[in-house]
Amino acid sequence: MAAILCPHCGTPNRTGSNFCNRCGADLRGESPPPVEPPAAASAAPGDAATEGASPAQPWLAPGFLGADDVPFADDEEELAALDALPTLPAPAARLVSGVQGLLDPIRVAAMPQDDAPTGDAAGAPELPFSAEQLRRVRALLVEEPVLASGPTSRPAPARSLWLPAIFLIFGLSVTLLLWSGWPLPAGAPMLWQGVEDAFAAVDRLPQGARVQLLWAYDPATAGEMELVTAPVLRHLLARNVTLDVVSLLPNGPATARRVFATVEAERLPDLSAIGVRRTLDVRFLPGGVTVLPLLGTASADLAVVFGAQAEDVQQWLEQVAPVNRAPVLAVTSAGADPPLRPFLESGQLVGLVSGYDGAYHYYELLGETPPAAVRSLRTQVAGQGYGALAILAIIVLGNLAALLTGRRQDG
Amino acid sequence: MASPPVRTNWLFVILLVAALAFVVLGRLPGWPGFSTVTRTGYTWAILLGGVALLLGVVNVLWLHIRRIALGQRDWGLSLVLVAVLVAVASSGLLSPAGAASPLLEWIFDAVIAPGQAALFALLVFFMAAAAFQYLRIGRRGGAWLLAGFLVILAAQTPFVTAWLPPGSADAANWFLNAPVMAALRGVLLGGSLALLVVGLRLLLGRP
Repeated sequence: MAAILCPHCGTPNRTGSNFCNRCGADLRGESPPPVEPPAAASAAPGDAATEGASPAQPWLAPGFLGADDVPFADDEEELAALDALPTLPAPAARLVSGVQGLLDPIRVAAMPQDDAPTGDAAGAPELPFSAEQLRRVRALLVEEPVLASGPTSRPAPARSLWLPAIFLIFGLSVTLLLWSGWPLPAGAPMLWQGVEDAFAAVDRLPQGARVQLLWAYDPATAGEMELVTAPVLRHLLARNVTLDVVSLLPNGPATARRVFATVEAERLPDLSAIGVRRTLDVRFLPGGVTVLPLLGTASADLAVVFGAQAEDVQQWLEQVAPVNRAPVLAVTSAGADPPLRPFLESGQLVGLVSGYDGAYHYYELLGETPPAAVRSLRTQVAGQGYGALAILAIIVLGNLAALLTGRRQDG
Repeated sequence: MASPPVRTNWLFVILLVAALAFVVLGRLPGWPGFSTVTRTGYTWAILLGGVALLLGVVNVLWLHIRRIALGQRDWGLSLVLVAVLVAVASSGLLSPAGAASPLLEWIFDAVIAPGQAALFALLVFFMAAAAFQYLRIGRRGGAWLLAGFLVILAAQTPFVTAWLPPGSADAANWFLNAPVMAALRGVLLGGSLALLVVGLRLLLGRP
């Protein structure tokens, strides 16, 4: 049997294949190369299953189910024919070749003869599926998914708890509590280790010191991050340092400029009132983490990473800090705090300000807290607490309801 | 059927080893020449990143213009996408202030930032629904998962901490800092080593 050479990876594939068995390249436009068949392989007239069909043209047989039902060439004659093929001319001539897939090719084609084991196939592992089952699976994998046009029989839905009702009841309860004006406990923001160290690191900076800022959060997390960023940025501006602001995100510069404008308006309301606006120069570097080491070639007295993810800080510590040896301060979301705490304990971070709690205490250390910021932070801390309580209540309700449902089912 | 012999692309291997050598030696003191070459390489990476970004924009435009031209399913959404892309790009390109143009800043502040924040805020509802459905005592290992979740959540919530017995918040923090962090770092290390090995196998042509 002639085979089709894959134009991408050079693998010989069986005739009639739609896709390469190794790399998945499209073979539908390919035709087998002209190969002189060995004399022994010339088909005798009696070999054809039916009249008009030959082993090389199984699609002419009446029972042929589709192009993918051509069996694998696994007998000796076909192997000999494949061995006689010229060796992979196309990929060797290309610059990019030899990059293979990570997984071994999977044999997905059905072999109808597997249903009836013969003496030749005795040593081969038997598939637990019939040819028809395999054909259906293959059709599912090859064809694009389509919506069923007619009505389909759906299994009866399993008994489940009515989630919206539980959410509604809980939401109404919280709203009523808040509306009633009861003095609810809001809780004080917690002082985590690292905030005072961060304040001290910024406060030690001499006037005109060079500070690198990596702006590594996007608008999705700006709701939390802007409140955390503001006191540290305010402190840096008060120290009159030179800021070198860089972002690896396309929307990072816009986020940075917005926070800078807000902080400046709070810090210098008189200038803001007469329309004086200072702007912040922010460089956007495309290329992602790869270009981070380039920032290490510039010396700095301090590096501050404003990032919502722990990975942003970690990448700076790995790629930049070892090169320019500047101490690193992390200003992050509360979610990034636990993974970063070991870096603080090991001394790789000189300070860590995270979440609303961190921002609140940084403002306290700063001693010039804008009342609006304090109100906002206390509201956020309280809201976060109520949110945690809500999650706790939902879990308890879920377990309770499941236990009750289980009892009813048992009874 | 015997698979064809896998060939090693030595061009890639040589490039990799050269890049690795330059980066490593560039970090060592006393090799100023290497750091110069490495810096040039990083600058090239920035250029490549910019080109990749432009290619991405062209690709998106091409794909969606084709969808519109052929009238494929949801072509209307493609039309909206192309129109918005052109509007935002031209608001920056046509303004003398460039990326800092007031219109672009307004688009960012009034459209992009609230939209992304709103989408991100939905996460809490997914989390609540997932917690409701899966943090169950009856599930396999569910009791352990539930206990761990409740302890950590309670210890991190300010006004719940006040009701907890003394030392419980410290215990939860120790749990986070010692065993959880050890496991997390193990996973990170294992992942990095696996990535290294897979990369080497790929480059050496032994997938």
